[in-house]
Amino acid sequence: MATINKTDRKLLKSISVQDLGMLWPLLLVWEHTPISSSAYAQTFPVAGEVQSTNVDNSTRQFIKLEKSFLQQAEKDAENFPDARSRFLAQEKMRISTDLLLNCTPEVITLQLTNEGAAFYTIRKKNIDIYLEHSLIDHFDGQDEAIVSVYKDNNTKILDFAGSLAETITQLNQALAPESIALPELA
Amino acid sequence: MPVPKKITPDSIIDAAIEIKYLSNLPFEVLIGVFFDAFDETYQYTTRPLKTQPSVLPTNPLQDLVLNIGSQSLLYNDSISIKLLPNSIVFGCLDKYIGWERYSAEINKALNTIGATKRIEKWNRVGLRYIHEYPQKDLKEFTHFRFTFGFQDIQSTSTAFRTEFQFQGARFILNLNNKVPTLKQEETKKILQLVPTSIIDVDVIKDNLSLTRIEELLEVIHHTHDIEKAFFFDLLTKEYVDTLKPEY
Repeated sequence: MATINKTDRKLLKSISVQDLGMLWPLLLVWEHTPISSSAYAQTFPVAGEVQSTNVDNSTRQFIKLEKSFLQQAEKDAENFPDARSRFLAQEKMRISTDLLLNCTPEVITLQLTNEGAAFYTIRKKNIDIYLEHSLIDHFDGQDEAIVSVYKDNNTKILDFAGSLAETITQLNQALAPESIALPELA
Repeated sequence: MPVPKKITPDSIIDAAIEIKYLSNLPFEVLIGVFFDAFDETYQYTTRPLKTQPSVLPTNPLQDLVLNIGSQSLLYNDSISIKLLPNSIVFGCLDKYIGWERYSAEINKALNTIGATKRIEKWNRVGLRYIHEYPQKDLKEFTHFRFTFGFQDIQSTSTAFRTEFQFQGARFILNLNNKVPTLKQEETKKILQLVPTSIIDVDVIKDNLSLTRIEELLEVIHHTHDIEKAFFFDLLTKEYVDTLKPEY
């Protein structure tokens, strides 16, 4: 049997319905979000004859970031003490990672902070995006995120903190003149 | 021209293989069956979205892609396997690992899938290799020549697409010559526009009706062989000789 997060099913059974319920609002938003990935993006999917291939490099980047997350989360016993907490964090990480990969970044890295957040560094053309997505719920509510965007290395064009959905909306507003866009969460 | 077993560097940036199938189970159930069949060396993951814009030059013939639901993936240390309704797409995880290793991984995965006995028929094999040559002009190392009506005009970049039948398969050849592409400079890690050439060979064997895995693997190997032979026929012999060919 293939593995999920290098844990076995017994560990996953410890995840309660309530735990999954925490993720559902976010996932449901995904289900109902029209994904015209970018009205502004200057490139479009390569289709060719082999559909949905890896030619866009996005799958590779996604797997690389997920592997990096899993390696870091396993070492971070303070924030992610068990398989259950890692699983929930990974579900959130997948959403923000997938969102950010939609702008086809030239460079993207993921670092777990000591507060259990995913800190992304993204470079696309002359734009640098630093986005922190909290993977641990400190209190009930929507996912928290903080973003800073710089243009030409030193001109700050955005600073924002809020829910992940609000952050993406703000990001899109700031990046629209740069022909970069991400799918909206809501 | 004799076809080398290996060249260095191979310049392959992607090697995707798509196998289409018909199953007697709904796709949602099939994912579970496949998950159960693969051993623990494979990791399962999903992506909330299905498609992302590409950074590669666009192909004029774009397929219709529906963005419904999530995308299921299996991966190990070398390859990724996308599980899609009616198709399975293999790709290398990092650099191209060579046909010997790659085909062994594909054989292993397809044998695992075949053993579930949930696939009724394999009906299409597509194999697509993309080679990238930064700072190179295709005219200098391939048999590609491109001219058009205006004799005095010199193209700074060219994109060329052709489709044809060859050795019992459909070929789609995309050539991009000196297309400006954003690349990271090696020492200073600065992004800069680099004129980049691409040879993209897509080989399709369609309308198949295979029930046995052995037959399918044979078709995949044959498709690879004709793609490889075609690719080396595109290159000049002088250039191949510079790539430390191993026969």
